[in-house]
Amino acid sequence: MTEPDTTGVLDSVTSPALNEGWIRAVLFDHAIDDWVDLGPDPIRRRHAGQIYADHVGAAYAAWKWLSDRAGADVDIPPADQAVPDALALEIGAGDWTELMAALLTVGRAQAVLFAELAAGGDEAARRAFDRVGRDCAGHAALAFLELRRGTFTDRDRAVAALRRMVPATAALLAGTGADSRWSGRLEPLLAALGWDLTKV
Amino acid sequence: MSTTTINWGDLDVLVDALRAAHPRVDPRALEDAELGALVEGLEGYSASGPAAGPGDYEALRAMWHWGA
Repeated sequence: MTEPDTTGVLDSVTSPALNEGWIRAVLFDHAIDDWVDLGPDPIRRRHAGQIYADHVGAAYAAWKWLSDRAGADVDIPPADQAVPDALALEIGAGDWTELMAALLTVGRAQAVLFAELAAGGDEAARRAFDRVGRDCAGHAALAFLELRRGTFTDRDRAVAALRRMVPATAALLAGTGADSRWSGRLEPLLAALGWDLTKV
Repeated sequence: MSTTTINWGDLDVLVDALRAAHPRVDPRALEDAELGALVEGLEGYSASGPAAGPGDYEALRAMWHWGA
């Protein structure tokens, strides 16, 4: 099978939002399947399952949208390729603390990018990405709440994760025009947690 | 009949009131200012209570959507 060529439909926003390495990892390589085991108690297991399902849904929406525009078969995976650092860090979250740190930063970036796609694209883009953007924004809000409460997250490990995730996410958004919107939302939340963005 | 005073000092009470008053609203889609306007429009809301601090809007958004 020939891998779809979607390069003609990617631009500065769609390229990071619809990253094919991330799509392949999530949708075809089962790279986030372990997330469903990360919830530390029953209600958080439910949350983890929902977060997992939303991410698979986002990856499917992204790949369907790209495949439709390229006239390609959605069942054929993208070529195996590197995943940007921020998205790789999110995929690799190994416990509840790391997942919350990832959703606060990387997930929020995805929320901003998908919202931009929904608002700036045609009706098909709005249908495909409006809910996905809200889902990611909801994950980021939950992550903030979990980190603020600190009942099931470890402060030092969260900060350590953010030291990697904040710069990686900024790099992901560089050139998209969405970076200031992302940092404008994230910075006061990190300050509310007592974590200065400039120090993480 | 007594009316419960609602303010930013108790997010659990605030969330319950918002859910009852706006059952179809998706809080994930609301900006902080829009969320604040809904709060201020609640019956029993008291502006003399504590002001929303940094992060309170995001925490409220999460509690409303996730039931967390």
